[in-house]
Amino acid sequence: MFRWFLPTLFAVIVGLLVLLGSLLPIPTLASLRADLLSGAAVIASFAMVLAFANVLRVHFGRLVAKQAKSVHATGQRFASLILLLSAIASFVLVLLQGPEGIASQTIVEGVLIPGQSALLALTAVTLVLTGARILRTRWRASSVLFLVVALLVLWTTVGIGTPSGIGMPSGIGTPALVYPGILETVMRFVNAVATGGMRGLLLGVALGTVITGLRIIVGIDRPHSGG
Amino acid sequence: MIRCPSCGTFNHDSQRACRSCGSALPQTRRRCPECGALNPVGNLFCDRCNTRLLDAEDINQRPASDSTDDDHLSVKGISLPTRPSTPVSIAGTEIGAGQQTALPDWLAGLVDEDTEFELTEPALTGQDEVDLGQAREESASLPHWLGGGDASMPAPLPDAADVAPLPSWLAGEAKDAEASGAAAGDAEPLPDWLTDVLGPGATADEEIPAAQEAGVSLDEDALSGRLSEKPSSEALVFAESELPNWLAQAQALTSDGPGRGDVPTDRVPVEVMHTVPDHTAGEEPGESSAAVEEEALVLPDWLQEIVAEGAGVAEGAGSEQLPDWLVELSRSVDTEAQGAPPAVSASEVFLPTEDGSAPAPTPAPRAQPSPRARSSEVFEEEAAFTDAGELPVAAVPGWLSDLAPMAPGVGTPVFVGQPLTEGHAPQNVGTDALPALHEGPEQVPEWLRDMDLQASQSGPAPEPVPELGDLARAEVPAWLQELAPPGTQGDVAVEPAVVSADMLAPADIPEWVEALRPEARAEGAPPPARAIPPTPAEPEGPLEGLVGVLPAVTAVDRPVSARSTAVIGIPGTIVAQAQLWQRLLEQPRSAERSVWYGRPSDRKGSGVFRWLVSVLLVAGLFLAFWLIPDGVQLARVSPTQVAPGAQALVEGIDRLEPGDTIIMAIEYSPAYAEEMSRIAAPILAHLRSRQVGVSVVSSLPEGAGLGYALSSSVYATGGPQDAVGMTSTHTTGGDGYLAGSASGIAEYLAREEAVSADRLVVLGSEPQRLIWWLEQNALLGADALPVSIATSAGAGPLVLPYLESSWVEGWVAGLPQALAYGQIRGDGSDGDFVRVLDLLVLAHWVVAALLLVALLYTLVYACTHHRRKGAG
Repeated sequence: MFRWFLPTLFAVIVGLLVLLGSLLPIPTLASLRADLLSGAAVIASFAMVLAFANVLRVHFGRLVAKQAKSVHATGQRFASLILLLSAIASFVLVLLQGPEGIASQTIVEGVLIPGQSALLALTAVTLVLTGARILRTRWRASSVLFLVVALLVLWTTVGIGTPSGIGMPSGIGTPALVYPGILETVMRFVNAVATGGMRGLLLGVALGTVITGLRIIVGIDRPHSGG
Repeated sequence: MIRCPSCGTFNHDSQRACRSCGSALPQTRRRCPECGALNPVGNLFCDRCNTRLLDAEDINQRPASDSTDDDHLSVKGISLPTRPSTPVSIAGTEIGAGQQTALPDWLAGLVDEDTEFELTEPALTGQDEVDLGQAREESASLPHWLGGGDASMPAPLPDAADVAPLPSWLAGEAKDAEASGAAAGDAEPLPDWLTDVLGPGATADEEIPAAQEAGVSLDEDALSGRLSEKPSSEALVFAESELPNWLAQAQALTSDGPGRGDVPTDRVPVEVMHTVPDHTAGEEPGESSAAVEEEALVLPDWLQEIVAEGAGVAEGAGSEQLPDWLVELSRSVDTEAQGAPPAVSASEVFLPTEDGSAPAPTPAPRAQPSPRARSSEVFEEEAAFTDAGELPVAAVPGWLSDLAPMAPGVGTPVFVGQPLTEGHAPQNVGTDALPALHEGPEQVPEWLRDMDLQASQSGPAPEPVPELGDLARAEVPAWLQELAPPGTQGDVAVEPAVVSADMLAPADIPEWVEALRPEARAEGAPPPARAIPPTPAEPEGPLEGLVGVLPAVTAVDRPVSARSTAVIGIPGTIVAQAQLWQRLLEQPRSAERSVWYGRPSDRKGSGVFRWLVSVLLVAGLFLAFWLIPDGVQLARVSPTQVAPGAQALVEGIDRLEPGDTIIMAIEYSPAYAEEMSRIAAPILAHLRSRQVGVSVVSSLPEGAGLGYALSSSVYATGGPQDAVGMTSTHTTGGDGYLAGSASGIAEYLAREEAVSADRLVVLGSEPQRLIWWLEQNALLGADALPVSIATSAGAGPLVLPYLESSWVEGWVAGLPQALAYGQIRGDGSDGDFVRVLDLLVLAHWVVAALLLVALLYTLVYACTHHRRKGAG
């Protein structure tokens, strides 16, 4: 009973109150909804602290654990050591100076942004390589359509004009220059396709969100109690 | 609730000891030996694992002495006993001390009840003792011969075996009585019940030659019936000479052949001779008095007492000890005897008169003999009557007269002494056997005539002349008749030698219960499989665990040809929508979805292709960036064509007044920081020009830091707050981090500082977080803030439907639209900004070229491959 019934009952009641507070113009329900959301924010903040503490615990455990003297184990220890030092240093510096401090800004601009930008660039290269090999993997009409759409999006996103400088073939961007209406037509087509596809995706997301909410409110799904 | 057997207090089911007296409570649950699950006591099988909880041998062979209340609860009360593999003989099994036969529990219960007052004194508690006491009180109020062999008996019984009120079929369990008194096999010709009645010490080997010589034989059936239905030993005085006529006739008829029981008529055991008075056995009256006295010694106690009382009355003492009914009867007989013929007067000797007069043919008084001498005289006179063929009809007591059978078809009872016609005579009674009945009504005393007249006038319902067995059964108490096994109800003399459980079980157990009786299984054999009914599917969700809540699916599917009879048709779209909702709701989260993962074959040249792509990307980006001279602009952006939302965004920020405050939500990760900083640069420049204060918030932990990095990167000189009046959310708690995702955003928008803001500008690369801001702001209704959005090129198409909605007032997506925003404002394009845009143009061309080459190569390769295959 205490394992799943009470959490489910609490989740159902809170979900219904928040939902009614959003839908019904009743000040009491709106106030209650705001209070419940504040409580949820506090709990989420505390969950963030717990997650940080758990990361420290796991990697500290790896660091002090007796492992076999292998290259893999040594690498894991080193990675855990770096993670622990960086996490503790970031926590202490941001805690002392705040997000606008020099140390915090240095960490963000010198570590976070270059690192994640590099990862995103690798993702771009991987996507290009995969797109080029897609026909070897799946020789289907959909694969051909995928390539064609990718080329059109690339062409229209940047808005390629005609090179006026030297050193570049004059033919680049000629269609847009010679036929101004072509670029606009293609862009409308791409926008329409992209918008239609994205609307379908958003509808699916919205439907999934509503279903998820209903399942939680009804009690079919119990993510709060592991069900 | 469990009722305490000691104090009667009700306790909870989970208690093992009484809460009032502390005594152990009966077991209400039985633990399964296999799985350990607790089952109700009545269960034969475990509810969980179907293991048999009670073994068949345990049920049959459980000793009675070891049985406790718990056992009774588990076996006797609810569960059925197991059918034994072999019939259990009741009569052939001894009951020793502490040993109980393998009786079925229901029969064992009967045995226990019988042995309460017959053999042993079982432990009685509670209500049983009260009931037994009441029964004894009731029996004490009855005449002693009707009271049975209980405490109201005038004389104590010699031992348990002499307690003869119960027939042997019921007392068959008390085999120790026979075993102690007679040798094994001696009592075989004699029914057990008769052996029990006649007492110990009797042997079956001795017969009654005298009775055979006298031509008078006892009808064992009738006698046994009488004895069995009259528990006291009073029945032993049924000498043939004393028998009523109707009974004597029946006796004569039945004595022609062997008895209906196992006992032949010529094999009356001598124990009858010892027990029954000699006149009953047809002894000649001329025998020596010594023999008479010897036989008188074995008179039943009750008869001896009567004789003694009669003598006592004659002596002037103890008259008050005579039973009232007997005194009254004696008085009436005495009165009638005054005018009765000599033959009738002579019969007075059979009744102990009040004055104790000796039974003499003449009414003259005589000296009072001793009790033993008196009994001798009685016997002699009785024998004289027997020899003369005259039955002392007047000596029939009233209680015996009441038992006279009714003449069939006439409607008047046939009383002793009544002049019988052929029509009155029972069909089974020969007239030659009724000498006294033909003597005429003058032999009938007045009191008998009155009774006859009253009985005739009363007009009782005509009844058929009953058999002797019926007569005997008429006096058997109802509770005994119910307990009589088959074969003894209508025929008392038929005594089943062996009564097995199989013979008794079908009569008491209904068929439907019998069908549930489990079969005995060998030791160590697996428990028999029990048919488990299919359980309904267990629902999920809040009804989980409640089996049977949902209605069961119909067992018969609807045929394909069957059509719905509903008048109102449901549109297919609604049905499809309902089915979609149903699938979405019923689909478990853990349902696996089939996803096809293709993996390209590792052909020759794959590595070369990877290297080629990498080299082309690097060369195309960096070399082109270095080779393109300044002043060459690759990107030509038409603001009206490329950035449809830029104009609205510019106009919205232009409406801000100096001193206004906007909320800037940073919703992008550090990976998009470079792109977003360039996209946000013209917007921040516009805000600075409008002297607008900015509050930086984010639902991402790193959002606040990225916000300040954005300001520092865009405006290198001075602090971010000095540049654009950017303020943080220190005063409202935290460093601009809004924990709780959408909930945190909603909670922040409800704050006072958010409500007082003039605009919301969201900078993001993650579509979901942008949607959160838009939705939560829209929920504010009239208090919603005007929203402007600047997003990355990758997230733009994903949130385009939202961007084009009425919730958004101006938006830009990607570097080209950001460049268009600057061109709209007319602030001039930044040189670095244009160079970056040109580099992106080159990168896009390189990527497009690679994809195109790959497409062509694949097409050519595929065509060639298929040609080879076709040629091969």
